[in-house]
This record gives sequence, structure tokens and C-alpha cells, in this order.
Amino acid sequence: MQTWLMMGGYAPYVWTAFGVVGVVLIGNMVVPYWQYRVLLQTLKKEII
Amino acid sequence: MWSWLHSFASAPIFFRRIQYLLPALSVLLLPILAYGLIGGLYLAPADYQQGDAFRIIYVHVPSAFLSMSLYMLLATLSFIGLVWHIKLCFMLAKSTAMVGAWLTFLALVTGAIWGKPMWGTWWIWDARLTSELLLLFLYMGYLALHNALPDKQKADKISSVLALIGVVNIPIIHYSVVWWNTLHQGATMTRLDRPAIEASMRDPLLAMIVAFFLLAGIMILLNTRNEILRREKKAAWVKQWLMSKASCKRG
Repeated sequence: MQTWLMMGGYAPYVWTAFGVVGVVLIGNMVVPYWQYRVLLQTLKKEII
Repeated sequence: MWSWLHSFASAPIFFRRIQYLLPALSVLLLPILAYGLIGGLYLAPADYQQGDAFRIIYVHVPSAFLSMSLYMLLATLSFIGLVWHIKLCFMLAKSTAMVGAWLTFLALVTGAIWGKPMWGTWWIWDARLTSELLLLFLYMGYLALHNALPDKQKADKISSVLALIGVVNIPIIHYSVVWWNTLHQGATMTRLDRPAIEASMRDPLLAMIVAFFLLAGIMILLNTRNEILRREKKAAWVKQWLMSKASCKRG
């Protein structure tokens, strides 16, 4: 486990790359989903 | 066949389709992504030249692949939208541009993080990197132009024209490693003569590319769903849908 996390000395590079990708991709799903919830709330108030 | 195709031109039908496409794509995504990550980060052996740093390939290549594929999708949607005047295509196009811009950003960032230990530099103005940066500017130009014009119908048309002009850049990116003498390595997956990658390294990469396609699909649909609601909020079907949603909850 420890040696795996070390990534043969390239740990900062490998984990930063995967980390940035993870944050951007998850953000690109969470933010529109959150916008959708807000949108539904405002539309409900406007229409019903 | 035609009625099925026609349903893609109708915002209310497509909106309902999104509602069950999203969970379906997510269920499909999870095992493929899990295999790609475990295979890439753990099961695949370290590269004999690059050691474990090569594992960045499992996010870099899918991001770069998607950045170009999504641009082709953006151009196709823009073309269909312009020729047949389909509003839904423009809404999909705008979402595609947003997701495409982020994936281009990821391709550039992961490339820089990979470049530092391997090439000794974060950035170099070589053909592959510069043309990929131009792709980011094309996406950002599309989005900026679209946001700058208050008349959305006009915005759709003008930014679509920009998207179509930008297609010239796609073959330049793809062949940049062949046409110019660049620091970036050549193609690995699409070589016809002999495979340049071993199966235990290749299969997780293929899985990650498929996973990124599914992820991009999910992100595009999530954004399109919002775009449809924003533009169609005055339409009768939105009201009906909201009413039925509310009565379902009560019942």
C-alpha cells in the first residue's frame, strides 16, 4: 500500500493529475445538478 | 425511424428522455470506470522508461481524445441546428462546448503535470500543445460569444458559425505529431503497423476512454436539462410536467 501510494517517486505528479481530473469532472456533474434543483424550486414558485 | 429521429428535435420529448438516460448512463459508467482506475493505477505494470509517471496516460489521453471528439460533436450539432433550424441542437451544442472546454483544460493540465518529470518542462510552444491550446480558445470563444449576445437565437447562429470555422483545427491537432517535429510523442492506440502498447496497459486505457465518453454524456445531459428548462420555462409542457411532478409527490 505504502509503495503503491509512492508511485515510484512520482506520487506528486500522478496524484495531482488524477486529483485535478476528479475535482473537475465531479464538479461538472454536481454544479449542474445543484442548478437543476434551484431551477425547479424557482419554477415551482413561479408557476404553481 | 423518422418519428424516432424527429423526437430528437422536440425539447419536451428529449427532456423526458434525459430523465431516464441519466441513471442508465451512470449505472453503465461505474463498473467501466472502476475497471479503468484499478487497472490503470494498480494492475498495469510500471513503464520501463517512465516508471509510474506513465499512469497519467489514463486521464490524459481520455481527456485529449474527448476534447477533440466533443468539438466534432459541437460542430455537427451546430451544422444540424443551422441547416434544419432545430433549437434543441443549439441547446445541446452549448452544453457540449462547456464540457468540451473543461476536458481541453484537463488535457492541457494533465499534459503539463506529465511533461514536468518527463520532458523537464511544464510547457513548450510545440505544435501539439499550441494547437490544443487553440482548441481551448475556440471553445471559450464560442461560449463567450454566446453569452455576449442577448438575443439567444442570434447567439446560437453566430456562435455556431464560429464552431464550424474552428473545425480546421481538429486535423491540425491530430496530425501535429506527424507533420512537425515535436516533443510530444506520436500516436499509441491508432497505429496500424504494430501495437505500441501492451494489453495490460492498453485495456484499462480503452476502459477509461469509454468511461470519459459516458461521463461527458452525463455532463452534457445535465447541462442540457437546465438549458431546456431555462429557455422553455414559459412553455405549457413545463407547467404540465411540474404539476404532474407535484401531484405525484402528494399522492
